[in-house]
Parts: sequence; C-alpha cells; structure tokens
Amino acid sequence: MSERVPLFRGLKQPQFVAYQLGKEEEVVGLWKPVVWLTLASIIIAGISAFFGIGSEYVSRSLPDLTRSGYEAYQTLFAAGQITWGLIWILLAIFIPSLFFWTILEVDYRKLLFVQLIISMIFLIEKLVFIPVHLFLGISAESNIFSLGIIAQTFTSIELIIFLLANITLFKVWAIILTYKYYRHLSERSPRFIIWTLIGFYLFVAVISSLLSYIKFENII
Amino acid sequence: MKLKWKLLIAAVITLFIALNITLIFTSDKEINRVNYISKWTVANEQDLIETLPVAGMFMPKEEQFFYHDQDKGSFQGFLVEKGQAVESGTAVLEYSPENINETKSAFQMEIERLNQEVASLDQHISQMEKLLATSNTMPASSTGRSQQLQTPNDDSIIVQVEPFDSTAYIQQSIARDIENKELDKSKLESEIEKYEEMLTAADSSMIELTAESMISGTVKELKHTLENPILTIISNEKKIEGELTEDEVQQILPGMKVLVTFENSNKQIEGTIDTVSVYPEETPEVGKENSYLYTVQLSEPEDGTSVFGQHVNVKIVTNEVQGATTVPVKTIKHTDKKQVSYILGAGGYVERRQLDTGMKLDHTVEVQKGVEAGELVVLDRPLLIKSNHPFITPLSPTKNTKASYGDMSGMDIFKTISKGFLSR
Repeated sequence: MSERVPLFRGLKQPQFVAYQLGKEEEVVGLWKPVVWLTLASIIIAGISAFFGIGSEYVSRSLPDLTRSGYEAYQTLFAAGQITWGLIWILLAIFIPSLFFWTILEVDYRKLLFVQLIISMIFLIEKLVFIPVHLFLGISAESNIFSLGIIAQTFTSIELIIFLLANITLFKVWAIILTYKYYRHLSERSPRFIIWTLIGFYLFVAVISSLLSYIKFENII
Repeated sequence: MKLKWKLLIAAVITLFIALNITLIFTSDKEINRVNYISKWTVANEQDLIETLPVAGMFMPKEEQFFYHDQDKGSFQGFLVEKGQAVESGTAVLEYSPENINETKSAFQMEIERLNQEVASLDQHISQMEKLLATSNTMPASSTGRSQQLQTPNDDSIIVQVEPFDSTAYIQQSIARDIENKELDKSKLESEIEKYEEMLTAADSSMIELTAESMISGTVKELKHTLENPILTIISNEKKIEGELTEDEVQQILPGMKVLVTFENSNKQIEGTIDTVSVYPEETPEVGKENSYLYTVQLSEPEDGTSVFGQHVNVKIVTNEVQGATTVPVKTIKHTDKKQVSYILGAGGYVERRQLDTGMKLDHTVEVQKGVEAGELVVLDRPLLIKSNHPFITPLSPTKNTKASYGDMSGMDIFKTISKGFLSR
C-alpha cells in the first residue's frame, strides 16, 4: 500500500480500496491522516463558531451586555466550541474502531484505517451544514439532511425531534460505506455487520440527543 | 455501481432534501429556525433638527428718516455729522425762527393797529357819554306860551304853543351813537382776539425748532442738497436680512427658529424669523427668478463685534423634534403600507415590531411608536428573517477589548468555555 491513506479515494472507490486493504498485511502511516483530520476538524469548528453557529445561548445576553463584553463572551464560547471540535474528531475516529475491534476479528489498525475514511464523511457533513444553516436560517434540529424537519411536523416532543434529527443522510452514507469495508475485512455475516453498525450508530444518536436535551449550558 | 442505481439514489436524495426544504416553508407547525444577524444598531434618543441654509446679512434694526418741513420754518442746519453716534432724544436738525418772527411782527402790528382803533373808539364813546351827562343839566326849556291867533275864518283861537324839547332828542341820538360805537368796538376786540391766538400759535411753533432722533444709533447720511430724506439715522441694534428663492420662501414662516453662524468662528446666535415678504423684491417676470426678503430678530443682543453688511450663514429650522427615538432608515421594512422593524429582544429572540414613524432627516427617521430608545434594531436583515425565533451573531474579533476580559473572573472564563464545549 502506498504511504498515504487514500482518504478521498477511499470514499469514491471503496471497492478498490477495500480490496487493497483486505490484501494488505500491515497498515502503516496512520498518524499523518489523524493529524490532518484533527486539524481539519478544528478549522471547520472554527469557521462554524466564527459565524456564531450554535451560539444561541450567548445571543440571549446581547441586550444586557456592552458590545465588547458580548464579544468577549462569544469569543470564549467559540473557544469552547473549537475545543470540542478537536475532541470530537478523535472520538469519532477511535471509539467506533475500538468497538468494532471487540466485535469483529479484524486488525485494529485496519479498522482505524477505515474509520479515518468514514470520519471524512462527518467532516463533510459539518462543512456543508455551515452555509445551509446560514442561508436557510435553520438550526441543528431542522437539518434538511435529516429527519428532523419531518419529526417536527408531527410531534413536539423535543427528545424525539433530537433523535430523528441525528439520523442524517450522511450517517446513512457512513453506515453503508463502513459496511462495504467491513465485509471485505471480516468473516462475520453481512447481516451481523449491518445490524451492529445500525445499532452502534443508533446508540450514539440516543446519547447525543440526550446530551442536547439536557442542555448543559443552562446547568453550569 | 451501475449507473441506473446511482441515478436512482441521487434522485431519492434530492427528493428527500426538497421535501425537507418545502416543509420548512409550508408546514403549519413552526419549524425551529435561527436568524443569522450580522449587523445591528441601537435606537437612539436624539433631537432631530431639519434646517434650511440660507445667506444673510447684518442690517440695522431700525432706520429713522428726516424730511424737510417747510411749515416749521426755514432750515437752519444739521446739528450732527455723518457717522456720529446719537442717543434717543438728541437734536439733529435745527430750523431758523426768522419766518416765524416776521409773522409774529406782522401779527403784533395788526394787533397794535386794532388796539389803536379801539382806543379811539373808546375816546369817542366817553365823549358821547360826557355829552349825555351834560344835556341833563341843561335848564328846562322856556315855558310854553299861548297866543291868540286869527284864523282865516276870522275865528279867534287860542293856541297854546309848547316849545320843542330838544334835550330828549339829543339824548336819544347820543345813545344811539354810543351803541353803534360799542358794536364796532366789540368787533374790533374779537379781531384782536383772533390775532392774539395766531400769535400764540406762532409762539408755540417756535418751540419746535429742532428735530430729535427717536432711536439710539449712528447718523448714516445727511444730504446737503436737502433732497428728501435729508437725514438718515440707523439704530445700533441689528437684525439679519436675506433673500429666499421661490421654493424656499414657501417653506418659511415667521416665528421659525434660526441659528446664525459666522464665517470664521464657532459663535452661534439664536433668533427667530420676524417677517417674510409675500411679494418679490423686484417686479416679477416670467422666466426670471424671484427672490423674497426675510428678516430675523435676534434673541440675544449681538456683542457688537459684527458690522453692518457682514455676511452670515443662517440656518432656518424648518422642522424639529426634541428627544425623538430614532433609527436608521435602512432598518425599516415597508410591507403592505406598514412599516416594520426587527428587534433583537430578550431571551435571544428576534421580535417583529410595527412602527409609527414621524420626521425624517437624511438617513434617520423618528419612531413615534414601536421601538424604545436603547433597543437593538436589526440593520442587515437576512433574507428569511423570522420573528419569535432565536438569533445568532457572528464573531467580531475587532470589537474585542482586553478590558472586557479583565472584567471576567477566571471562573467565568472557564465556565463560558465549557459551555461552548458542551454545546457542541
């Protein structure tokens, strides 16, 4: 295998890359992509925070603070958001691969390799969301790529809305792609792979929506 | 993957997204939205003053003209010089009493003549009276005698002859004469009275031999040619005068406040429009620009450093609102004859407010109802702004100051960062 992890190619030609991966004995050169992805995540989080996406909590105090006080507040908040951007990508890379390593009998590094490619999808999702959010004036629950809007039309229960808003097209893409790779790598039945994948992502969605629901920013 | 499948998937995805977008705008239930506000401003409280700038000049407030009055006598001379300062009451012109004196002498002579006539009449009367007195002391006339006379018929009659009593007759005629003369005398006396009255009249016009200034000021000019007006005095008090064009004059009314400023200083004086001429300065002609005169009464007496004819800038206040709540014109959206503005309100929500507006001045407009001073108004409206939904603002790093960070405690800073972290 070439030195670099073919992140983009991994997305566009999964068959090819998966096949190659399956043949490969050992996977090397994983750190560089981790660093790249981390940087990318920080940058994307920075752009997102710059536009104030997700800063509704801060906006609430605009009428009460001086302009410079408000800006200071928002800047610190943004710093927090960027820090999350750093942590999140690492979680997205290592946690799923760790989980599936315990289930499937596959080399951890290979799983990591796959996860790096999949993380790209999530980064793309975040990136695309920025202009959509700004131009359409929608918030995270009303993501047009998710079931969130549909959820809002038939229910007012926040938790359900959050949960369904977590189910996005990109996640579906991620599941399908991961499945393709895992099929090549693992001997487990395709059904097993699919169900564990869906289960895993559902579980993550539930946790995520719970966290959104609790609204920690109000508690601290 | 086969092309057919790829296309199908692409179509499904597009439909899904389209469905979502449609639902955002058409759903009955409010879909959670967020307003992205990049620019906003504060509703101010200020005084709005709309002014019309015109040119003006200092002119004397009052002018007094003096004319040559023949009836007062002949002109003697000027008592002041050109440029001299005068007070109210200062005599400025002098008339010669010669004419009057001649007239007076004429009257005197006439009175004397009449007096003389009266005197002679008096004499005559007293003589008559003396005569009257003496006639009474005359002896009685001789007694009457009787005479025997023969009439032609040869009858003899005795005729008693009374002598004629001339005394009574004389007395009567004297009395009549005295009466006539008394009558003449009283006629003369009334003529004398007449002339005496004329004499006092001439006397009193002697008193008005000088003309006095009614105002304090300076002598502007005097004409030695005695062309009327022979003397002009201008007051020290100043007013401002200027001209207005046809368009301007229609907006200006007496009573409007003005602010007067000078070319080279910051001094500013207040005044009010005193008069606005309704007729142009020059005879109006079609095709020619007309100008109308206006005058300004100054509120405070000007400190004397300015001169007549000095050009000043006059700003006429045509419209004024004190303590108005104002917003920039850009913040107002005009829909269906309504004027609407969006406020960044409490709780982080955008509020929609309907406005009643008042006076407009450049890019600012007065808001009479709908927005309070101090409220934040959206300046740069996003395309799909929706009220009663939260808003977010972008970071403006340039507006950060070190001081505001200093204000926050370490705990505050940590808390804020964690909030950002947890908000994901």
